[in-house]
Amino acid sequence: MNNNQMDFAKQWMFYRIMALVVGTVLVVLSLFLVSVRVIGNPEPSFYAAAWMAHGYLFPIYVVATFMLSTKLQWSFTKTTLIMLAGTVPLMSFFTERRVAKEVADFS
Amino acid sequence: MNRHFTARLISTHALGLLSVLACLVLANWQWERAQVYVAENSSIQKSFSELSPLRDYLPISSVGVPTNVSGTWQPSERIVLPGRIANGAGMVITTAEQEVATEFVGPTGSWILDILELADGSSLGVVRGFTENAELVPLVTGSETISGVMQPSEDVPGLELANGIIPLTTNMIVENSRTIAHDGYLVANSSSPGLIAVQPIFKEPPVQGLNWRNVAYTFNWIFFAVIVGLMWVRVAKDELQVAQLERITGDLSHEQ
Repeated sequence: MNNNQMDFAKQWMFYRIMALVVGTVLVVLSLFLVSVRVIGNPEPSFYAAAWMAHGYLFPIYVVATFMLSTKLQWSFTKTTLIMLAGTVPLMSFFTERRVAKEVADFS
Repeated sequence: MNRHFTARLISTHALGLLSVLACLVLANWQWERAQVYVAENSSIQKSFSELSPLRDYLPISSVGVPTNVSGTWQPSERIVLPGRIANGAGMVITTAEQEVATEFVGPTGSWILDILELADGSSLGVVRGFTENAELVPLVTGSETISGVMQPSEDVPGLELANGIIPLTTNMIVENSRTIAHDGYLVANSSSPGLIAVQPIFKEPPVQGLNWRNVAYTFNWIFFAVIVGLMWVRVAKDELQVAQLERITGDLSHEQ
């Protein structure tokens, strides 16, 4: 494996980890959001801090997506849509699967 | 066209600049929202002249300090403030979530503010109480000594009222007074007939503090601005390289 391939493998792993972390945190937080806002349960003590954590994780996911997009030469629209997938519950899981197929073809 | 001024590069710079500016504007907005008032302890009674100098702003150290003031009521200068509750502190927005809608504890009604003309001829707005039926509250006349606490004009920075309540401002009192008015207003401690005593927004002199949640959001947006800035630089560099490659390819094909 040459240096370029190693770089690409690292960026692909970075993107996968961030997509899964951001997706999982968002799904869990969305469930709490429904519990608090729709059902009317009290806010758990970690609620605000967890949303804050998501607020800091998301930009890192954006960086990971951006780095991968430069390697795979995605269009601006595609890159933006994949970045925005990190704000929709479950969507980052689906996009990660689609990107995995693309990476398999690329490799 | 100069390789630094291709249409793609110009749009990259415009988009990058706009995105970074948007992040910084949002960071500034969160920082402004982070400024809040926090109460500190004080319950020593002071004379009114010491607390509220005429022709000057109400000092922050005077807010919430108990005092007595004597004067004559001006019945024609009443101000009715609807959409309020008896507990002033309960109307203040303290968290970001409350901005959407706040469920008030207790019935909603009006604060009744009457103007008291003091011995020196100045006017002071006095919140005499809360009622659910403002039209039934009789006008007040004669002279009286009122005990209460001074409150700042409700348009001070950092004080936000929930559910679109119209703030009680010094301007409002000035417009309703026939003589020079003091800054801020007094909340009477005891209830007048037909009225429920109002709990003031500030029970003690406030000190400026920070809402840590909004501070964290501020840094969140700054973090985003840095990331967007780095992406902008990277895209611009790539665009320049592409432009350079195109130029070299063009030169080579010319030579052939």
